[in-house]
Amino acid sequence: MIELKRVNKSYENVEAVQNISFKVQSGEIFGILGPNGAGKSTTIKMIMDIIKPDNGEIFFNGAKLKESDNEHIGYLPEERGIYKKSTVTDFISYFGMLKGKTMHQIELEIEKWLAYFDIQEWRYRKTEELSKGMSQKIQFITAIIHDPDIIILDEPFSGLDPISADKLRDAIVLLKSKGKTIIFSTHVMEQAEKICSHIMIINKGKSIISGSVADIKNSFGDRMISLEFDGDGSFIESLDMVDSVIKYPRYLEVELKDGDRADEFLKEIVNRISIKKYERIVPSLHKIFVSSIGEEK
Amino acid sequence: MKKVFIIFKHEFKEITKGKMFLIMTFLGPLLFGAITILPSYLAMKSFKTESNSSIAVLVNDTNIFNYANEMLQTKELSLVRVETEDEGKDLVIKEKAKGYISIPDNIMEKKSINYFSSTGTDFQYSNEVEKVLRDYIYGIKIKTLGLSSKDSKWLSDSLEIKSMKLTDSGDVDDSDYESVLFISMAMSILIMMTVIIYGISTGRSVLSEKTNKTIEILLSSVKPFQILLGKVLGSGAAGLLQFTVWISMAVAVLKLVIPVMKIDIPDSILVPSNLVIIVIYFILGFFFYLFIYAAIGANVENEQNLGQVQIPMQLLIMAPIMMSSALISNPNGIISKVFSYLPFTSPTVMNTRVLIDSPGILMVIVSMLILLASLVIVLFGSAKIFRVGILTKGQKVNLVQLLKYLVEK
Repeated sequence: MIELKRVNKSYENVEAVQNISFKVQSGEIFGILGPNGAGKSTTIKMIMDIIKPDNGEIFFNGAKLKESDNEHIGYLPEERGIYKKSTVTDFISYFGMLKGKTMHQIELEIEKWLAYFDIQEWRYRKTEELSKGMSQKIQFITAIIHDPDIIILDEPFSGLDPISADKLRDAIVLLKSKGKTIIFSTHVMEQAEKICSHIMIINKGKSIISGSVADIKNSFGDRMISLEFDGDGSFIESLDMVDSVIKYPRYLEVELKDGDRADEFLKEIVNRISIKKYERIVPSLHKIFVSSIGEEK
Repeated sequence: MKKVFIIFKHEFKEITKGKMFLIMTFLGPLLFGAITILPSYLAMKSFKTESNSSIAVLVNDTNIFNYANEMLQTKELSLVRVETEDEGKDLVIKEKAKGYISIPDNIMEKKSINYFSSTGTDFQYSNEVEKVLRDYIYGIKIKTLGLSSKDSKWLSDSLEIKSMKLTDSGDVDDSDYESVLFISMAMSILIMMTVIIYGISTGRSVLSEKTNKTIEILLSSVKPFQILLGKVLGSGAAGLLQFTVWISMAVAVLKLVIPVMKIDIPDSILVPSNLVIIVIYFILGFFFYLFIYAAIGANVENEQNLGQVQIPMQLLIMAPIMMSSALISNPNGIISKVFSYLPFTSPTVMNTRVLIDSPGILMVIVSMLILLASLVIVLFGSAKIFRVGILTKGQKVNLVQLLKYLVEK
């Protein structure tokens, strides 16, 4: 549905995006993951045709991206704005009309989505009266008001409280169930883990890993061990067979250099700490992300 | 084009729906009148003498005193005869008299005498006294020469020079051209006001898309050029609507005022051809500046920055008004001609020239074509600057930088 081929973009002395290629199929939820300043927003803005790539090509449904395609794409930018003096309906309608929809179509969609987020009573109120959470819901509705086939969300969860974040995640899942394709960027791995079918990890403008979440996790093999214990586990990090350790308050995620050395690892620790739980696990996206970025550095 | 129209409609609605627009549309002319007509009216009013005022006079000759007192009483002024200079000055200091004058015995030989007042600038009183004394002296001189009243009248007749306008076709127009000057100046100020108000409003509207962070949502649906066009046309339409209301009100007021004040406006100036020329110049000049302001708005970071960068623009718009005396006194001079061709000044200068002078159809066409070509250049130049600026953040832009963007690829 959307394909980028060897896309590059530079700003003065900074290479914001370098040779990025990926393909998003219809109905996927595709996450562009990366730390701040990695090039996520630049990539998204190029898909939205807000900025032009220096070279490389972007395809929409197999053909080169053209101006009229933006009517099939919904976009929620990272920097979200609102016209403070407009009413909720006027604000959403204006952008809906710019996406080629009639007032009648827009009215129906507004009705539906305000009901979904349970904010119908705010319909004719000025946007300056809205709370931050409510403004973000209105901005999300504005992005999807024209019922687009593809929805691109740049850091959609940033600044949201947990309840609003859950509601937004449910909305994304609902849109996926209706066959919509969703591309979103984030640096919050837990959110991506829960909803993405495919991801691309990007750092310093370069794509590091790209593909389905299951394939990527499998490629990391059986080297991960989740360990809950009592006692001083500080020695674990320095063990010969251990590659890296992610420390959580009550447990550790240990990455072994080789999955075959799991028994050897268990023998090493069993007499030095009191083990509550020992489990071989697939790595979390967070782990994959941290490992990938770490290797890059 | 449909998207341009949607932005146009939105912009027009945003400007016209506010209370401020209504207030400015209907109270603007009053405000305009207040700042232009009121000061001159007050100045004129203050030039009249206050009734029942008195002036202290030290004079030995009772004839002079009686004559002067009688004459001044027709102006509701009276003379108070004092015995000493100190007494006269004291009355002035205590504000019991508007002024003090000492008339010497040898007044017939004197070239000047002093008049004392607490301000030194209330000429309306000294002028009245001067007139009366002159008449008195003139009467004495006539009597001394033994002239009849008929001869004296003949002697006092003076020559008046009357300005007439000779048109290109050789016709002579003897109308009152002071009123034409007034109309052309008022028109220029009105154009200047509309351009500045709507120029800043357009710049601010573009800037607000950046500060509101809505520009990216807009750009995901429309091209920068469409945003520029929609915003400038929307804002421009609101400006034209307001200008039309102002002109209509001005015409209505003039229709009421002309018969009352017996102002003689020459028939030759408010002819359709002149009005068409003025309207074309206004529309071209208006949009010429609006596109520049929009490009500036896209390239500044905040209102303060906008205020600074647009100052040179404002000076260019105001230049013809600041130089109006040179332009009016010599409408065919070199300054006037240069300003007539410059797109920055031609909209205001040419409307004045069309009314008070006959610049010739060739000059009007050439100047109009230059303005039109400049508008097209500004349109595409602004689009270029707009595109670069609208996505630029955290940079303070100056005019030099804007020009740099223009020449960049």
